[in-house]
Amino acid sequence: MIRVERLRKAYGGVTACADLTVSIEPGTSTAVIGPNGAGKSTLVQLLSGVVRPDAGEVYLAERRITGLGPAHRSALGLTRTFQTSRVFPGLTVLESVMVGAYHGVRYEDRPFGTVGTLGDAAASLLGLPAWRRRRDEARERALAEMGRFGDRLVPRQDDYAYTLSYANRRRVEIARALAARPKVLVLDEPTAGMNPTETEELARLLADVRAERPELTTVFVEHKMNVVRRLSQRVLVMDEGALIADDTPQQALSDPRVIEAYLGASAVAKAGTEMPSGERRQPDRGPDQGGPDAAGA
Amino acid sequence: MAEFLAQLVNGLAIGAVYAVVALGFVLVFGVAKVVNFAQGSQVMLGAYLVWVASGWGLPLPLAFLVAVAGSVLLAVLIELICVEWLGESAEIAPLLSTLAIAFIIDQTVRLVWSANPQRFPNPFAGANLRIGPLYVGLTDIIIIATAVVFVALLTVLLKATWVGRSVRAAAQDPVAAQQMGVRTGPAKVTVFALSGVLGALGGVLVGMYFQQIDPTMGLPFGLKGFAAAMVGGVVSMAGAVLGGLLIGVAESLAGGYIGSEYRDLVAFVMLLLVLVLRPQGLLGSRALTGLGGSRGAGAIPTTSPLADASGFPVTVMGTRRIPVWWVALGTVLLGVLATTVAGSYWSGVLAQGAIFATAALGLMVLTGMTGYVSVGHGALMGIGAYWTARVVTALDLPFELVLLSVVLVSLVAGVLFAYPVLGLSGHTIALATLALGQIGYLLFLNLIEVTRGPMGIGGIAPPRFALLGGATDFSVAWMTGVCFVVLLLGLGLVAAVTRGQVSVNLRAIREDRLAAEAFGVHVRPYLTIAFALSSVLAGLAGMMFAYQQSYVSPDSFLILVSFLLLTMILAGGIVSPAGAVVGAFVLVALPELLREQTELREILYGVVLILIIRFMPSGITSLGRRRASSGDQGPDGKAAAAEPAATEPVPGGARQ
Repeated sequence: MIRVERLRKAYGGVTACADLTVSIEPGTSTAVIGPNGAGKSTLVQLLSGVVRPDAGEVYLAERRITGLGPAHRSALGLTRTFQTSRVFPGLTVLESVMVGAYHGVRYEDRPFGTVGTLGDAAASLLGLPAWRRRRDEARERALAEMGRFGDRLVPRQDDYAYTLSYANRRRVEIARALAARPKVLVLDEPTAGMNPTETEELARLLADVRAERPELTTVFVEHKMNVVRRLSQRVLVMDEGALIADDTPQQALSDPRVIEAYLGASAVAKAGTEMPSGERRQPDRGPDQGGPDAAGA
Repeated sequence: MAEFLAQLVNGLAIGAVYAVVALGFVLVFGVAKVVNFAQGSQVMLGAYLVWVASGWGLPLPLAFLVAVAGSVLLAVLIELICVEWLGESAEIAPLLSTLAIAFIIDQTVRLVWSANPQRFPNPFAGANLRIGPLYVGLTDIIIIATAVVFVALLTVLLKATWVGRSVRAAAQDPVAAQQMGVRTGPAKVTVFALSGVLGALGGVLVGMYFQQIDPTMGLPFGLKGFAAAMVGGVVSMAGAVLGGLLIGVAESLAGGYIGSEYRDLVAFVMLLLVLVLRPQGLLGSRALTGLGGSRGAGAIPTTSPLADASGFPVTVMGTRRIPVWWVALGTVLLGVLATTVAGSYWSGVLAQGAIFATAALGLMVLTGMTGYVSVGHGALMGIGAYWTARVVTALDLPFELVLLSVVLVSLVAGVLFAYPVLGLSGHTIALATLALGQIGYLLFLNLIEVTRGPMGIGGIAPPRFALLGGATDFSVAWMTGVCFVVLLLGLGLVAAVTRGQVSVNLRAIREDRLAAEAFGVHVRPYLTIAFALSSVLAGLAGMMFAYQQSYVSPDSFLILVSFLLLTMILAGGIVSPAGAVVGAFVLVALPELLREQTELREILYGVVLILIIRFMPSGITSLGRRRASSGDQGPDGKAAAAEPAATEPVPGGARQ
């Protein structure tokens, strides 16, 4: 569904993405993990088109999208969320979600392009029936996605987004992404800054979405290993811009190279000799609570 | 060859002056992150102070010291008002408040020393130096030498002293500098004081160069200084010097070889080329965040000038508070009053109010909805006005056709106006639109075949309606009625914008351009649409301006008009159609109470603007409502958002 080939990106002297080649199958859920500075966020930026690669290619459903901007990729069905929620603070909650929903509807009607954008704007200015239909459809989708979060968002639909709590902003962002009805959903640390209850709630919701839309391809960056285990079928482990492991969650999280990347070589020695299955070094706890990544979660 | 070299030296001399102005601007922008629009007025005031002190019989160097003292005092005062006093407001606040102070200074100088040009003392006037086959004006050499000495002194001050090091530290990372014990407050005062010194220096050099000074010279010199700074790349001192010299030389060569009327245009055309081809400036780096253009993987700062100093978007209220149809109803009532009860004097004033309300609505659509601050809308209004003047005087078209053609011309003008600005962010937008506004004014002034230059175009007949059987009337009430009808048309357009997806998309771009893009908003076409719609409203206002005055001249479309429009929407509350209309009527009617002293009018606008920014950031129409700034949010808002941002990885540290 989405494929990158020899993707490379460097910031000054630091290689954030070193000749990465990965192919992700349709309808799968893939987690990207790795210590801070491993290049996970850069990968998200490269996939969504916010950052252009220095070299390499990105394909979406076998279509080359390397040179396309974020809006164009979103029109092709690739939607992302941001690590720090980027809701539109001065828009109401419903309006924020409608931005995603409306463009989802619109790009189902017409392909991305300047002429289409101008036509759509004209339809909106003139109040044409085509626009009314899109608006109603978008509104319905937006409310449906907001409804997934129970009474968290729907009662607040007319509040400005800046009045929301941190967790609610994240929910708005995820609702906005889902309302676009993407084919590929890229989530950059969806549970960052959430407490365990909120994390559990969101993980359950994302699992429900996957059950409901089996064709949806999900790629997510995550630090909380319980979430990774629960939601992913495949784990990509990155370190210093390169892929160091690509496996099922169970296998990847017990891979010595992965533990080394997270905790250093001595930890591998300990894990290998003293505590092969010891409770302190269980990978799902290690990176989450004791690892160098705890600060980033 | 000798001719060319003479032009070159002459260009370097005036370029040195631009470089001095640009340096003051760059220093202030680098440390205080404020675009000091008053820089040009500081130059003008510096020149006047030298002139005054010379009048006391002081020799030029002593007179210069007097000017330095005065100029530094003024610069520190600007810092106190625009940075300390208004510092917590949106970034648009210091931007507009320095603009307001610029107008206050200009008008005060005009009040005190009259609008007439004054002769500036230059002991070296007429003296020439002979270098080989070349005669070079001694004044030029002295200007260049003085500028070199001061730039060298400034460089030593910044690089080799502790004051300079703390100033540079504060410029590069104010938070880290504070952590290391640098007091950034004094650093800001220091750079403003230095900009005052540079202002006085610029003043004395400009005075020597032209040997004549007048109260309106501040704006053009300020603008060229900004142009120089932006050509060089805003955050770089070397860039400021390079930009100044380049513009000076290009100007001098254009004046010598193409024609003196193109001299002033050169700077701004160069600026536009740089903005389009290399928006970070010749020596600037895209990685530098000085203008919010970072491209890293981590947190990407908001691009909206309506953001506060920490980059967190200041939430402006939605557009729905006062429905547009209420405004329309109010407009109809006021229109009926204006055409029936009001005497011809007040009817004319209200017609002006309706004209400016239409233009202010246009600016509201752009600045309020997208956050793109335009300081050049006067030019868009002027295009509508000149078009109307030409087609009515030459072709005698009926009103309906004039209206239609103005809409089309304004659409095109808006798209062209948008093109160089779209890729910019933050303060550069305001500067670029200011340059566009000035280009417009210079074109009105110099395209004599089209605009008749300073003479203007007169004898514009009142609107004639072909659909009403050629109905027309020379009465004031008729004209006022048409002005109000056009305002209603404008309100209809605004209603269409605010009702639909266009408004949501534009506001999404304002709040977070990147997120809007990521969720499918096709940003560049949408911004172009906003500029085009805004231009249509400004063009319609210009059309009615031409009809109502029955005369157009370049002086009606000075930057002052753009500034006035900004004051109107800010007074009304930036994002509110009601606010734009109310703001326009109030600010047109208010000065009528002081109609005897026109100079006081502009000072009044400046003071009103500063007071509004300080005490009513959401405008008059929001009176009594809770202030919606990010500061009120507590842990739910800003604090919560800032915390995870701190752990955001910044790969490569390319931005440090």
